[in-house]
Amino acid sequence: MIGPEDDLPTLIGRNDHINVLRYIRAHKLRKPRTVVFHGRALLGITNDVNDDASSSGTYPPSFPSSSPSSLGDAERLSALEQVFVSALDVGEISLADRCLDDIRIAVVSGGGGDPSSSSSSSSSRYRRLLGMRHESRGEYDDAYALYDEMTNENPSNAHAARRKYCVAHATAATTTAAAGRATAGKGDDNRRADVIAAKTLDDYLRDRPGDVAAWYEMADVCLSTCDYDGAAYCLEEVVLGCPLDSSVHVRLAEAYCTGGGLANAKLGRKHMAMAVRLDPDNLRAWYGLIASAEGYLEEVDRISKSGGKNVGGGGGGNIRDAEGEGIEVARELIMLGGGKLVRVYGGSSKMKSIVERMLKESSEML
Amino acid sequence: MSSTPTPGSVFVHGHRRDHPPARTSQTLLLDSQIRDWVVLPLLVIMICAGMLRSQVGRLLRPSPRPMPNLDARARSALLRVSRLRAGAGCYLSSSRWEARRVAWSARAYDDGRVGGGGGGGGEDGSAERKIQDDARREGGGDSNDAMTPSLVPGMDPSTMMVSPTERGRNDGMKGNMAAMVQNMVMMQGISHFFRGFVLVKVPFPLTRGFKQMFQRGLYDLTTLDTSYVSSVSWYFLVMFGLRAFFRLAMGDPLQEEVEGNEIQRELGRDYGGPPGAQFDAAKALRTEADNLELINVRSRRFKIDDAEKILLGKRYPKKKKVKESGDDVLFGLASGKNKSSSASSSRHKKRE
Repeated sequence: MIGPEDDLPTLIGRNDHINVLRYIRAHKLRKPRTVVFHGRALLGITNDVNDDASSSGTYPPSFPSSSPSSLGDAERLSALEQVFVSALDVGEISLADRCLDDIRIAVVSGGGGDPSSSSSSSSSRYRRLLGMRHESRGEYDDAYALYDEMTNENPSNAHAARRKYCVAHATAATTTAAAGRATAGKGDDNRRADVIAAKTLDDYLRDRPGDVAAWYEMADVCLSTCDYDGAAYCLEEVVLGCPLDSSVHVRLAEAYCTGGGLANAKLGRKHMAMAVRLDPDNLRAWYGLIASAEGYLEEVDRISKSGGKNVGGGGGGNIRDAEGEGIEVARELIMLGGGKLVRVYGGSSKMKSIVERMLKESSEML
Repeated sequence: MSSTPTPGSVFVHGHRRDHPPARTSQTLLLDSQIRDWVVLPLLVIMICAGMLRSQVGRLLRPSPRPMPNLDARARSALLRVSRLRAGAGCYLSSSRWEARRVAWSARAYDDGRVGGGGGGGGEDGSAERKIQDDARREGGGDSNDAMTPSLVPGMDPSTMMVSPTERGRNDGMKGNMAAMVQNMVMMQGISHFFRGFVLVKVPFPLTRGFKQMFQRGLYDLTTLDTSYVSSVSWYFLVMFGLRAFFRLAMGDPLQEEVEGNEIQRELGRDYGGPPGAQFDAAKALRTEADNLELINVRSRRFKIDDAEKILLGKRYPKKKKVKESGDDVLFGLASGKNKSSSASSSRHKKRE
């Protein structure tokens, strides 16, 4: 096992291939080139058996392998899997294919399957990799069929369900792009692909309501259909998942503000304020803060005008009365945000003048 | 009687004295043959048996089997609910938080209908879904009906009741069975062959409370000093004491194996825990719903609600001032407009 004092540079320096791979896996790092390099050395890509024996001579004594002369089955397969994924990452397709073949020989051929088929008896861990290869080649139909089969077989297979959505999404994106290129004749088609993708995501979220990333995707889907309430709901879910992320607060606030309505405008302002607090350097949040406060003031204005028309007399006064504090707060926020922006752009006179003009407009609107 | 017993006289009941015994601890000389033929062989046997047991356990370990989808879904729902209950909930505005709390703690079925459902796939809850949706809409105006997870905490117990935990129970039992059988056999053997043996003496005095623990199997020797250990007790002490030794000797499981388990879980397959710790989705969800019901909005501070106040700090308008300005809002707003715009522009000038 990797000792606590070993870090990646020492392991690399020691050419301790297997522990380099283990370290990267354990810490969930994405270092595909390192993995490919050390994986090649470890697995001896030209000739499996001999190189295994020679390279394993350099293991540190702490390595608890029962048979130090060669890699154990589990270790070898894990390394192959890791190298396969990294090879796909850096685009070394031939290496990836080679790893996948080795894995197939070790895992699947025990049951005697033929190379390309994914018989339902074969290991789902292997088919996960097979799906990755399909996707990397852009064979989305094959990948979708594979994932579909996997989910049918075992509905609680979260990975397959997730990839299914990703494939559907990618298909939708490519059909959209193709339709865009070939004039707008295929509008129905790509809409259908979109709907399928959304449906897949919906199915996934019904089974996995705890998956924050899926909620984030769903927010995008909602936004693409102008469903701002829905997007706000999804983004609230994301905020619950990662409450300290400033950008998520910004997106949630934007969804609120775009949705419209007085209550939403207030919520949007509050989340923008939170985003600014969480990350004072988030300029988008500062702009958003000003914009949301302005939006709130406009909303109050609009309501007071329409209320005045409908009810007659005191309606307008009432809303201003009720929102008196809020109005003050919104103004203060605009001033605070303006001050911050001017300070940030203090360095460049050109940007500063632009920002100041913008702020002047908004302050005239007050 | 003689207060200085000769070292050779090994009388287990030699200390039956007139005066209260065990205070003046008599040293019993334990025969070295006991050490050579009982204590050490026992130790060796137990180490071997422990090794054997771990190997057998590895062989008997069930292969991962598909996790029931309902379990997976329930776990995921629990995760989601726990986020609401934990600190992250403060980063939502109180109204939205409360809406979620109300919706998720709502019971979908009344209890009368629980028994009738009979294990459909969990998708038979269209009515229930409507109920949940309605609750949500009333509460917070979230109209995202396409993706509302149909079964949040109140998740239909009808399907949960029949949750297929039975299947897993047998598999998990196997490993435990092996250990149990082995233990029983060894204990029987020891208490049969070495009945009444006093094997070792711990080098410190102990109170009488430890008699149960240290002198199991020596029933009639009520007056023997507690620091002497009987054979069966020795077996127990070693059995528990060796765990750490085994961990050291056999090492942790390979990293690859641990990762393999993780990947299998991701792929929806699971080894199932020990039989005692089976996941009971219905119960867990009901507990969670109860917990949610008990939380009060007022008992929490929502950071979002005060975000502006904290951001503005001293510049946050005071309540009193608001009331004052409330009187002349109609034209006060106009003057306020000028004031604030002039203020902000003067700010800008200052910066320049």
